[in-house]
Amino acid sequence: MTAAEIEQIVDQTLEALPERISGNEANQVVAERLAGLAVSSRDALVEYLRGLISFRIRESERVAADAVREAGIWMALDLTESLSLQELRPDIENLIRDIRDGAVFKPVHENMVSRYLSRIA
Amino acid sequence: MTDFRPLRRMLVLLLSLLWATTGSFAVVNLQSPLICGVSMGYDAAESPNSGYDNAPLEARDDYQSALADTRVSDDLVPGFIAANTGGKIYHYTGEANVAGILEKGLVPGRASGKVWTTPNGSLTPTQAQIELALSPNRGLPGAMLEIDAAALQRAGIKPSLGPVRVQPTSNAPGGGLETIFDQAIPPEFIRRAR
Repeated sequence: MTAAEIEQIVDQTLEALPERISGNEANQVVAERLAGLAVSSRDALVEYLRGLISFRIRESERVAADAVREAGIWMALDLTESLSLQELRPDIENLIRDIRDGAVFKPVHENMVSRYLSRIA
Repeated sequence: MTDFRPLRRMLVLLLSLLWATTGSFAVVNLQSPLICGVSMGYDAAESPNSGYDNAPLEARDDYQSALADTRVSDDLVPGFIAANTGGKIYHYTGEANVAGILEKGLVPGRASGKVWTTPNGSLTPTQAQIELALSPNRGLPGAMLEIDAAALQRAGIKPSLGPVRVQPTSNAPGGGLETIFDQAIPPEFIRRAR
């Protein structure tokens, strides 16, 4: 399975969920759906999540549509934790550094992201 | 001999005006129940009618005067949070989600990019499900999390929309108030209230 195919599965899973659902709850559903792929298509899954985590947009340039792509980062972090994808630790470290540099998110989000690192088993 | 014709013309003109005005009101009075009846029938058919006369107000500068009466305190920008919240907003959710949210914070959904909150902290689980148009197939939102909106705003996180009326969905009538964020809310600003 490829990263693009995994993206399709994720999109289909999210489409089936109600609109007013928190990312916390939705990401858990996606994690359950992808659990098998963490074994059978691990490389493709890591590639897909790496793409999501790499999104950057500075606050000054951020527009409303960027909220969905930023939400993709949070989903990737949740999936990385739930599926114990150690391969993505460097990507999360880069994300933390870029938050500090103002390249994405707000400074108040740095601790939130850092705690994901400590939780990844 | 006095000529009363100008006076008579004025009286006729005045009576005509009165007649026309009364007629207009009569027409409006006749139309109103008909229009309402048709509208209510339209709503009852559960057609895609927003159910509101006005579009929701966005938390934008040009709408601030309309939202000014929703100010809680001088700490908050006008229109930030609905009145009488004491600088708090709320997130209703299922029991199973509470521990995760208190540990990780509230993160926006990948599909919507949004975090859903409400300025109303007095809803029962059933009321929350109905008025906030929460999906019935996710269980009753028995837990209520309180968010320190004033502190959140000081940290630079403001709502992208709201407070606005919750629009009806195919599953719930909505009608409550919601305040929507398009950024994650860190756990430091969240505590369990119920």
